[in-house]
Amino acid sequence: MKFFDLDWTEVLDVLPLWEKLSVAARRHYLLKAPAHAQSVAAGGYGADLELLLASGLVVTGAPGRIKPNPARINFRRIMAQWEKFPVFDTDNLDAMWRDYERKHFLREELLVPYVQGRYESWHSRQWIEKFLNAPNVAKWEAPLKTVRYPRASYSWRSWGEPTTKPETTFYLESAEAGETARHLVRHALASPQPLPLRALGEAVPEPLRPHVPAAFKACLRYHLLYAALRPQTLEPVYWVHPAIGRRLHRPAPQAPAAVECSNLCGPAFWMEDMVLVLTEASFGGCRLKQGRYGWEFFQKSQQQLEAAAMPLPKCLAARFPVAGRLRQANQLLRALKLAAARAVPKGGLALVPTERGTQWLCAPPGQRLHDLIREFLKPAVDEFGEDEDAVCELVPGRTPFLTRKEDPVDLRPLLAQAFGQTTNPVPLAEFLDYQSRVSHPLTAPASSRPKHTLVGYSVEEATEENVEQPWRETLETFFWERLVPLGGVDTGTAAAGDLCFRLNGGGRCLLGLAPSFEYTQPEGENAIVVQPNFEVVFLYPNLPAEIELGPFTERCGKGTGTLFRLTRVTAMQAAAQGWTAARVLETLEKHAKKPAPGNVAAEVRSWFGACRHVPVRRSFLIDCPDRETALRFQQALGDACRPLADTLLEYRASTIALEVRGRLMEQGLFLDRSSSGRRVVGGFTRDGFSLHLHEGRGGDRGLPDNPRRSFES
Amino acid sequence: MTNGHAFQPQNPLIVQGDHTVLVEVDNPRYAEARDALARFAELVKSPEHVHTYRLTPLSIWNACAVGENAESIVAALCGLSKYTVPSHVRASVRDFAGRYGALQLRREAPQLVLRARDLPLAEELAHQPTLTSLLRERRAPIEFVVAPPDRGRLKQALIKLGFPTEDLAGYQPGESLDLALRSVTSTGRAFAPRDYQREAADLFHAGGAERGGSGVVVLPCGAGKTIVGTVCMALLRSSTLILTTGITAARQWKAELLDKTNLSEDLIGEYSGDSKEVRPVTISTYQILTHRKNKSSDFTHFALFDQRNWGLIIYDEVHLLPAPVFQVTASLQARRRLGLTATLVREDGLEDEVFALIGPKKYDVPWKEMEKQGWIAQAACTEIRLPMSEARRMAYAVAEPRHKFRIASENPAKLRLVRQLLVWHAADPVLIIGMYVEQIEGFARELGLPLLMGSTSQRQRDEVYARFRRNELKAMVVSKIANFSVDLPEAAVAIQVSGMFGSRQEEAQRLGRILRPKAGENQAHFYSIVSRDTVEQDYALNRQLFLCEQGYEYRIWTLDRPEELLPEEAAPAAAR
Repeated sequence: MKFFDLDWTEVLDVLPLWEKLSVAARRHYLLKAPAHAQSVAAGGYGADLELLLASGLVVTGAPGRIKPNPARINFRRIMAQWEKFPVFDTDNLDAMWRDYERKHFLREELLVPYVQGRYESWHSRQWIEKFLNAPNVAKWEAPLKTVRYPRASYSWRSWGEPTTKPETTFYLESAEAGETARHLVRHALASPQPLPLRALGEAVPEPLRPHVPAAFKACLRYHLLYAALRPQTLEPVYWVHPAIGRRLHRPAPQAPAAVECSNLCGPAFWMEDMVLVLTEASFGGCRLKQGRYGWEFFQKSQQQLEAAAMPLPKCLAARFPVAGRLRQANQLLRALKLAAARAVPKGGLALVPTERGTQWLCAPPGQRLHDLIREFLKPAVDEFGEDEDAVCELVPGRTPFLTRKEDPVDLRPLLAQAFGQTTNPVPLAEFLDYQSRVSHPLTAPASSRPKHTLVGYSVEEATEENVEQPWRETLETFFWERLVPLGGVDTGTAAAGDLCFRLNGGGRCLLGLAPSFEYTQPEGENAIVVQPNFEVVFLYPNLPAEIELGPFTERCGKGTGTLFRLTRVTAMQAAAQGWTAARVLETLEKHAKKPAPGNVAAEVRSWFGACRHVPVRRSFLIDCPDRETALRFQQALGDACRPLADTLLEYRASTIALEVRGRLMEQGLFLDRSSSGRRVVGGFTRDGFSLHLHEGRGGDRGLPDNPRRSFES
Repeated sequence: MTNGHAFQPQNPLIVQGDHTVLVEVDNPRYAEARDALARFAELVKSPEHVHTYRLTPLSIWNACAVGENAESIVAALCGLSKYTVPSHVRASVRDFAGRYGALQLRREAPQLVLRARDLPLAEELAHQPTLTSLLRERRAPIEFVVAPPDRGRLKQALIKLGFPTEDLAGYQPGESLDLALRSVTSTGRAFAPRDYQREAADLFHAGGAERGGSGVVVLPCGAGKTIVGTVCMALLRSSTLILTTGITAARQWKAELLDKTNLSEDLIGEYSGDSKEVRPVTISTYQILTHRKNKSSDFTHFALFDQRNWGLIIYDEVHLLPAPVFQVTASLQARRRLGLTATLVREDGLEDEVFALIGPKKYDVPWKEMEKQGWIAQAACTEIRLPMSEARRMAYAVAEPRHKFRIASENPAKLRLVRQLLVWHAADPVLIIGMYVEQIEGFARELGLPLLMGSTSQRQRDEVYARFRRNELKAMVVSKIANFSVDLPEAAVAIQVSGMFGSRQEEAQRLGRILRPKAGENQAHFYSIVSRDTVEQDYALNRQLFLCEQGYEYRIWTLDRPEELLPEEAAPAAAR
């Protein structure tokens, strides 16, 4: 021990005088003279000056100045330490504790609990109970004794072979001191709040009172009792460790009551973001660059994705900024092998969907989410250096509870037990307060209870005092980093402004409470309105619907608002692709809040009803100079040739084969390509290209040198 | 979509980056949103499920004129929006609202003083070429002297620069007039203005303060804008000039005033082509005021504005106010001005002139609300598509494009359908409305009904209207003369056999003829008969869109043969 290793008789004797001082005088005494020998103005003590002088706490210095009495320096140092460490009144005990221990205990003393793998926690009732129930206090103290090595022995050469014999200190050598300490601890344990130090003697029977100073020192040394000044009154008080005291005397846990919450929703935005990114990636819109967080999107892609990302309710939006969500989507897609970073022809890398990713994207939303959740239920891959695998663990981060084999405890049953009860909306804060007390790992069956807990970077024996907080953090982390983004809980805000939630189907599946679930996209139902003025309004973003409505509508917006308009032109374009009125109306009905208005349905049917699909075929028109020639052609060409008029024939074929031309030639019938000055006798049009055939009346007119060439265009 | 990430699915608004606001009608907070938006946004369209509003500088200034401010508008938008209101929209609202009141016009006899909010703004004005002739002396760093005759032109010029002027220069009281509303009309019926009519008049009057006295009251067709005007006259009790769209409307005003006020006939004058009476209450038409011999000559009848010391000028159907009347109104800024209209949207885009010269919007009530309360009738719109005969189809097919519309419109097969509708609505007063003279003459002849068109004398028109109102006449055929300001409260059915191509305004006005509240189910029917698979059907689509955007139920019946009649299920419930 550092400051506390002194004769406490003197300190306890001066306490009655300290109690008589006003708060201002106490403050002046402790704070106005930072150095022990420093004198302060006498006026600062006010009416208490005489009292102080009489107590011998201060002495007169230079004229009009007062300084602390060097003879009472121990008292002053103890008070100053207690004032610096108000352990019973701090809001951040954990942070203060590290400093407190470092300032008040030797390294050897601090290492005592860790030797021989005991990892005992001083801040637990278990520790105190061991002391109180020990049959022999001296035996209890033996392994804890302070062995102080001289400083000179700490050299790397002499480590393990101290040159000087270490000094060993026992604080509870006498049985009376041990018994007195037990009285003090029991008294403190029974108190719901810190006790005044002046009444220390009252806690022990009269015969043991002379042993109080030694017992108190021992209690301080072995972390059985703590003392501090109350910040407001600077009154010295003592108690057991505040975590133990408060825990012992707190009210019984109250299960959170269900609250009214009208705006509950559970968007599975991780999945929605992944769909968004994967869809953009399908069109080559997600170029990647190496950034602070690994592969990141180029700014332009990032901005486009951010603009199109699904907005979240107010209660979630602040915690999940869009940039972070997209980063997560990018990481998840690559971790789950749904997309990969690949080189693209333009240069650089882009996120490209894998075959598996394309299949996943084409699945219905419920299936997509189911697949995603299933990935989180797989056993964690323990591969160093593969950061991407870590993103799919069921419980994010390092599990703070370890079994006897130092393996992490399987937390899923405990999480299921805690969250499984929230079928009605409850406030999150109340839920965490309650569950941190009633469902922590030490409440599990003995076989699966943790042996150790991670406290910061150190391992401690798992006690009720040190599992509640990490368990609360685990619940909260699981809630925010798994249940919420995977749409496993419906969240909303109660009238009082508290965040509330209830577990839904997805959450039950994630926790193994249900094999499957129904997923309704937040925008799936009631998302789209077909207006009588032919506009299609999206009240929520709905990417799949946008894709499906695209072929027969005119786009006029993005995200939400009036995104599409049904027009005759778009209807015709859709009809050209084989759409029918029934299919259009069916598609609209599938996504829309209500059936399409009567006038819209009538108009769509009217548009499509006016469409006619007419088969087109190629043929040759043969315009003959007279009826007799026409008959000759008809005879030569057979059934493939039919008369359209007396001298106009139609020859049904896409080309006139060589054999046919030969047959015609044999009969003195020649076909010729049209040219200026020649009479056009037939033709057809295909894609703006014309081929004309000419009547031939003999070798001198019309017959080409090479008949085959003349018909090839 | 906006980049905002907050999401409140229970809210009814989506505020978009282009300053449009979508309102989900089925939302529980719809009524709250509608009432809030009515204050500071223009209703663009109101189809069945989602209504569209737009935030414009004028709509914000109109809101500021009745006491709104930027923060209250932004708060209303944010509180009702599903998604975060785009920051640039919030900035625009603040910018627009910040401009209102930045310039104030006050009277400091004998001159007017324009006071800018700060020196930079005053400097900006001083360096504007368009204001050089209008701003006279700069009597203080932020104050300019303005000549009283330039009051209107200055406000016009300033609004073009994007600065609305808060006109606090006051008005001339005008000649006093002993005018009071009757509690029992001259025809013996109890009379009291409806609450909204009284409220609109009170807002306009503003207790006689300078902030009131000029502005526009927006009420749907059939909601009784004439009564609002009459109540304003009763509040001001001064000589009044009423400008209307036509002589029929002028006479209806006169009849209303005689019926509902203590004015005697000798106090009301008609200033029209037929008569040039100038009396304490004078009713005229835009047509006569804008009449001139030729394009280069003056508007001789503008003298009417100075012939009496008018205390109030009422502009009926202010959205139709002709440009020359704007010019003369610019010089009448010292007189109180009341605009009455069903819509502030003008086809010519001169809404800012209305704001600057007539005044800001003082009162607006959603017509759906009035329909719910029964102050206007519910209208069911039905489009009937029937094919043309083979012969007519051939004529249509080979006709020049410019003639096609007429050939389709004059489809004789429409007559049979009109007969059927007349049978269905035998108990209802029916208007048959058409555009082509030959067509409506034929209908009148075949159906044995009176015909009113441009060439019909005013006396004949009045007679027919009177018989129609007295229920002696169940149906009549009218041309487009009945589009505006004809008060035929009994008309419950309108059958449109031909229309002005795709004119939306005409459609609204024609529908407005039948919107007066009806006894019983308070239901009006508007039929539009068009030839199937023709350009007429294409134009009808425009009108269909407009009516749907106004929120009317719209049904379509398609017939396959010209001789076919409508099926029984198409008939109104009463006729079945």
